[in-house]
Amino acid sequence: MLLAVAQGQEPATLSGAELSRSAAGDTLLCRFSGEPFLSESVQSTLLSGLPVLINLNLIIRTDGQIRLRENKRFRMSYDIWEDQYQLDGAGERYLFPDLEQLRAFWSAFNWKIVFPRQAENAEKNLGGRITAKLTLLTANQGRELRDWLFNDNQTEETSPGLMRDTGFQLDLNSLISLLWSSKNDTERSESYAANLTAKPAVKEE
Amino acid sequence: MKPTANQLPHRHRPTHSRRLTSHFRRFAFWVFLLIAPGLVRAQEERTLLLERIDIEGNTKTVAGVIHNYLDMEVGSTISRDMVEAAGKRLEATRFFKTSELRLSPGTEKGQAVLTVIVTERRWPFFQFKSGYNELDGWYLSPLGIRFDNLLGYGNRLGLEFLIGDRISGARLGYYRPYLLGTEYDLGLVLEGNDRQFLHYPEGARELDEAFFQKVHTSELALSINGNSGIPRFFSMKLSVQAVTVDSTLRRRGDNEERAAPGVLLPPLENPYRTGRLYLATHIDTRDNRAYPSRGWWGSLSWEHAVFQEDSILNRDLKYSRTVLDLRRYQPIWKELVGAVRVKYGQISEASPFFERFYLGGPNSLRGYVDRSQNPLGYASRMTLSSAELRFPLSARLKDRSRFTGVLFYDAGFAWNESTTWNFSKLKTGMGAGVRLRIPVIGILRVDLAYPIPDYEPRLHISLGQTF
Repeated sequence: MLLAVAQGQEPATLSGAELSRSAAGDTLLCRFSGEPFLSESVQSTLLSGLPVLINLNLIIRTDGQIRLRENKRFRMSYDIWEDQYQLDGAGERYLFPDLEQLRAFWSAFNWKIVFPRQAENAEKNLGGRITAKLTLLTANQGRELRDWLFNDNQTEETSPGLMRDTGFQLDLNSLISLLWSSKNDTERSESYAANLTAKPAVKEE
Repeated sequence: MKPTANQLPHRHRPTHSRRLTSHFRRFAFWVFLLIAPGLVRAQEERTLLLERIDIEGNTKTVAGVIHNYLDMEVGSTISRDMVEAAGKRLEATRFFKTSELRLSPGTEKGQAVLTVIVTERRWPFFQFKSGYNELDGWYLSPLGIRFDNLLGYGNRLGLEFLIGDRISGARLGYYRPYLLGTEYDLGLVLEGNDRQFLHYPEGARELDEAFFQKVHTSELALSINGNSGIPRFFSMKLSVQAVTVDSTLRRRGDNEERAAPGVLLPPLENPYRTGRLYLATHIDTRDNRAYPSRGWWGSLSWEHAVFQEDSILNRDLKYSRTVLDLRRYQPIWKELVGAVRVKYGQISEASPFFERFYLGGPNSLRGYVDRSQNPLGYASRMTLSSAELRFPLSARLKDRSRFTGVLFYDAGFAWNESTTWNFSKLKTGMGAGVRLRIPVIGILRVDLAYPIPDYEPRLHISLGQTF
């Protein structure tokens, strides 16, 4: 059973994870089901207008030695105005008109990695591990200092048309609370992982 | 018959006048180019039906206060801009440590539930303020303290001290938004300040040559400003003032005093009192305050002041002031934005010098020193026009408005009723500048301006956009 776990605990198992070499030879294909990426807590986060960050890490080993590290980052969000889900990552933007299509995208996620074929013996010990971390952002996460710095409060004339008065105001309360208040735990995360063992070669799509 | 000026061949016209007329024509042409294409702009906007508003975290603040600032009704149609604007309004109140607006899907497609999550602020609000005022130069308010939302009804009571280049003072204010549930905000301000007014002797145009004169003012003012709907276009202020004008002038860094000429003395004996009524209508459709690229900003104000009666002198003891200020922002090509401003002011000749108009400086006529382009004792008429071409300077920045450049042309004239005005008397300046939006402070403005026809460069440093 797949369970989302709290930060710091062992990650839940990612289902359907497999690693196979393409028939062409120089490409590895990592497959897994990312359906748990749309857990209830993720869905409610998305529907409340907040984005979810997905960080995927892949390690490829041969003979127990790490040969390759790959990383992919996605930002998943729901746009209530356009009534669509949006996924940004790896320089691409994907739009999904409903949750089912987004779920279908994640349910059989294919990750192609360029990994030239090695000696036949080494190939037998081909394996790896895929980990996924979902960060459920709250709007305040990491924002206070940036807001204080960049949301400058510039002022203009108070009596229209009389005197041009340009200046700025600083909110000292926010600065004080940034320096002295205890850090709120505003970030929640879900982690998933799976070990990968090489399967027979598949024809690359 | 002697030919008139219009009948004379061009080469016989006075060169200076011709050059200025040509400048003005060019200016008028640019103004037309900027305004014409953007008068009407249709924009399709996605909307949702607001099903419910939930408010969370308000332990002290009455929900109605938050609803007032949201300015959205359940059952009404809302747009993305409306929600963003509501969020900014709520944040600008400073009532809350944090405030957040979240929209989630409603029970049916096309409907939405708005959730407002606030964290109440327990401490009084402390504020640091600084800026550049056209009249007072640089100023600083090192510490202002404000008691916001005292009873949870959105009231504000604040005290701030002001020190600056040419001003010092204190202001105690009370502010009650949405007075009695209406769309009007009430303000009560008790203020006392000392202002130094600049006077330039004949021929002098540099700050070192200017004389300073102190004017002490105490004021009690009541203001009513509309905050939403139609009333938001209007504001009104009633005030009583006691004013004392120093009868001596002093040069900066010089202890020697000299008697002020008659034009710089108050119309009545010190201290004299006035009551005044200020009415203004204004509109602001700018898409962005920091770097507007589209929209209008306009204001028309009228002020009438009555001096304390003086039956012995039997003088005209009233004056009126009218100011029209209109600004337009228009995208021209790609990220090139055109901005124009036209300002005109008029005041009765009977008015004291510190109520009159002045020209020169970074916020008005660039290329000239602060308030140097007006007659001694300031002017009863003033016109000022500016045109700017604004453009981003860095293609790398995500927010292109953080570092921008500007080419500008300013033209203005300040005069008294006795002076005949014509185009040849316009003071003009042109130049280029950069605007850098830096953390905490906001826009830092640096302009290198050339007065025409002298072309002696002058550097202006200020904050915010010129207009």
